[in-house]
Amino acid sequence: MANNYGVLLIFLFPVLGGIIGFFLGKKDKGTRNDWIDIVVIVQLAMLAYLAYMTIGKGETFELSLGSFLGLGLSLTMDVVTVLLSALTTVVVAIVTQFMKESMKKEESSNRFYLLFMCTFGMVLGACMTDNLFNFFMFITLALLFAWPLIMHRRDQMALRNAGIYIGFVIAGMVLILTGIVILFGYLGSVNYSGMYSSVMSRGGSGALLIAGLLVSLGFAMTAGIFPVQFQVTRGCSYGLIEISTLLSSLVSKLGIYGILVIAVDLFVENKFYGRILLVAALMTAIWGLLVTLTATDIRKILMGIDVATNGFNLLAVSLLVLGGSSNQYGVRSVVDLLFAGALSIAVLYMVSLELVRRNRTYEIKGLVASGKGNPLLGAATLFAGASLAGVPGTLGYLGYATLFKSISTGIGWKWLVVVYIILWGFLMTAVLRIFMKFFVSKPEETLRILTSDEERLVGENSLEEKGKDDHKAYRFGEMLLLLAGVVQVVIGVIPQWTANRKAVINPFITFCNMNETVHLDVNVFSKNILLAAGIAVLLCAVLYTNLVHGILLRVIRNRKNKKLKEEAEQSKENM
Amino acid sequence: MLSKILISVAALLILAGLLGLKMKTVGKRLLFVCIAEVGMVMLSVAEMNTYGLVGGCFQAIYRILAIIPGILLFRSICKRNGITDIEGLNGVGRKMPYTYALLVFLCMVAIGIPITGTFTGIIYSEIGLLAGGYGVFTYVGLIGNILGIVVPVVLLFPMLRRMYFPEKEKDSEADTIVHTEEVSNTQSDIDTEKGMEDAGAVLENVDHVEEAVGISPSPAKSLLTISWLLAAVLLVFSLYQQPVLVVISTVMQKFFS
Repeated sequence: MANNYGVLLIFLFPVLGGIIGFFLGKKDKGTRNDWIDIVVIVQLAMLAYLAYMTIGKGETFELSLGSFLGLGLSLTMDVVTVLLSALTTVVVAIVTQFMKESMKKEESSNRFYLLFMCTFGMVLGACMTDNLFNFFMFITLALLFAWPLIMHRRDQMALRNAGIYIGFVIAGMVLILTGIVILFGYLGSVNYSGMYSSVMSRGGSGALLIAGLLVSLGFAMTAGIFPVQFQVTRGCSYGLIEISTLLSSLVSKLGIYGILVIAVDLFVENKFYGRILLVAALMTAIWGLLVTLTATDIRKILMGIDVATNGFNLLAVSLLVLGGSSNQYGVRSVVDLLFAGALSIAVLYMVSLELVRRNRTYEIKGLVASGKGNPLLGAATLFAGASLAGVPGTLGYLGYATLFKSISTGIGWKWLVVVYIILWGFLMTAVLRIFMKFFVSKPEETLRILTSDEERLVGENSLEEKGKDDHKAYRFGEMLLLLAGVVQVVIGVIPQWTANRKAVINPFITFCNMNETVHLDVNVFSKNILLAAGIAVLLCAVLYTNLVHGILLRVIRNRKNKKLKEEAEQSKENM
Repeated sequence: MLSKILISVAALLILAGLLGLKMKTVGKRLLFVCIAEVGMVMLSVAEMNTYGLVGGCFQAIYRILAIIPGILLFRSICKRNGITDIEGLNGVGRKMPYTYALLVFLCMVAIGIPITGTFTGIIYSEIGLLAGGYGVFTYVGLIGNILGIVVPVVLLFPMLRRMYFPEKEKDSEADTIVHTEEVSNTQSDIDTEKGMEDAGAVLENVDHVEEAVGISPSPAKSLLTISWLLAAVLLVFSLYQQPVLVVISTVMQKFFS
């Protein structure tokens, strides 16, 4: 196929746009923001055209420059890469709308925008390539561009954790590089399809296993997989929410995508590799849920949810390996969870960003009921949360339902079914906790017995600053968030026209080297799946009322508080 | 046998680069970066096969072209600002952002991040090691190669981080933000008054901000010019490495024939 140089524009345009925006911002920040809007809109328009050409007309655009960058550059725009690129651009479009307001008072916002757009460009490049070497190159650059963004505020915690982040980035990249070189030496190609055909013809070997494990370990660091999760946990918990969003919603998902590539191209039906992934996935989901349920900083809460969803994603990938080439449920669950996770987490991060900026605190206590009176934000969070938690009628539900099918029929391990439903229930609880805290819970009285620096800060800052910010400033961003939620609901309600449409899902099935001819019409509303979802919802209700809401704990606190109040009143009377 | 000995020596040289972590002065730390980089080139050449030699030549060209102006820039900045130890570098980059950007680029080439010619050299070197069949020394070489990426990173990144991202003092955090905003606002007013529209004005703008914040003497103009030129050459030949490969192949053919 002839080279199409227009493909180059897709990932270079944001980078060039960022550079132009940097110089525009030196004169006027408003002009820069408008320019970034133009860049994102043009990018979306280009991708919409490509989506029409690839999904609608079945065309593919390729660019292969053998002598470029020393070891060549290979990019492809087919259904899979176009959809991944579109997801990336949508997430960035949402974030940039909020950044307009949130970065207003931030120091060196020009530099932030420049590096942000460069990171965006590199993520797009990673989505577009069909070559493991180029994927490694783009993901490394994306992670390196993100490093100064994490350090942006230069406070002690951010700098210390950015140091840990970069340490894990380098370690991960060195592992991936070593693995890729071994793979190249053994297979003679690191092109996705080339690797698969080479493995099929030559068969597996010890060197292949070591190389695959090295690359997978490197990608696991990027995806925040337990026990090498520190790159994500440190990177997403201490910096600005804007960069945490990019790292959680996009870069960590790229890690999952990298593991998927290795799993489907190198380890087809490799039980050993599949079991390693399965154990790592369960540990990651458990660890992520533990973090999110015990944390009080909203960045950590969301990071925990991201890690937990990555655990579910990895579980789907592991079942893809264990289930064999007829396990199409696995492909569907990976794709649906990837898209639902990325979009919903971005929405939750942006909702938090708005509330944090208004209340000047990252602590969940200071954010309680802060979203009340903003129905648009509430609806957006409800839809995104529902999708992330896997409530029936959403994109997320399609992912969780097919994952359940993959376990129950593809693998048939009953213990895993039980563990999966319990984890699903816990994930629902974690998401419900955020929604309830933001929009439903009543603000608690400040308890004297629990007085701490954080509460003092919440008391001083948040209450004073509440309502000072311009509520209309985030309006367009809020509408985008709502749109992201509505799209997920629409996909969940009519999956046969959207996510399960042959023109959309078949390329993913081919990408995962699955048997395309066995096209299953998945009934996601079957009795078994609805029963599993129902049990998870019940579990969520029980867990929320007892674990999170903490009725018992509340009663004890209130009694103590009453006593203290009475004592204070008595002492006042005595005075 | 010679290859195996040289691979071991090169790996030791790279390992010795880690001693630079103990050094508090900028000069000594850069010296250990150089030692590690010499080790990397030596490791590649020691493989004595086509991949190794091409990788060694690639690394030598790009590393030398990057590290020499890098060291000179560091030296010039330190000398003109009276800096000796690493802590003295705190915030220097913020006062000369374009020079800092240049320094970052040169350091990235010296480290060998993807898309640079150094990185291509490292890849060739690793392939040469795997293709060479050096037994246990293959693993020694691989570990050496991995350390060869890590050592410059752990030595250079903390210095670069300090130059632009020094830790903010807690008490003065709010003041700093207000102060910077004031400075940029004042500057934008001046810009509007003057009606500067050309691209050069942007650079001038930066210089004014530098003065307002409290400028540190930048490196000599001649050094900066040469460094920018070299950086441009490195960038072009990193994006398009074919000519370098052709030159190396031709020289090697003549040399070995």
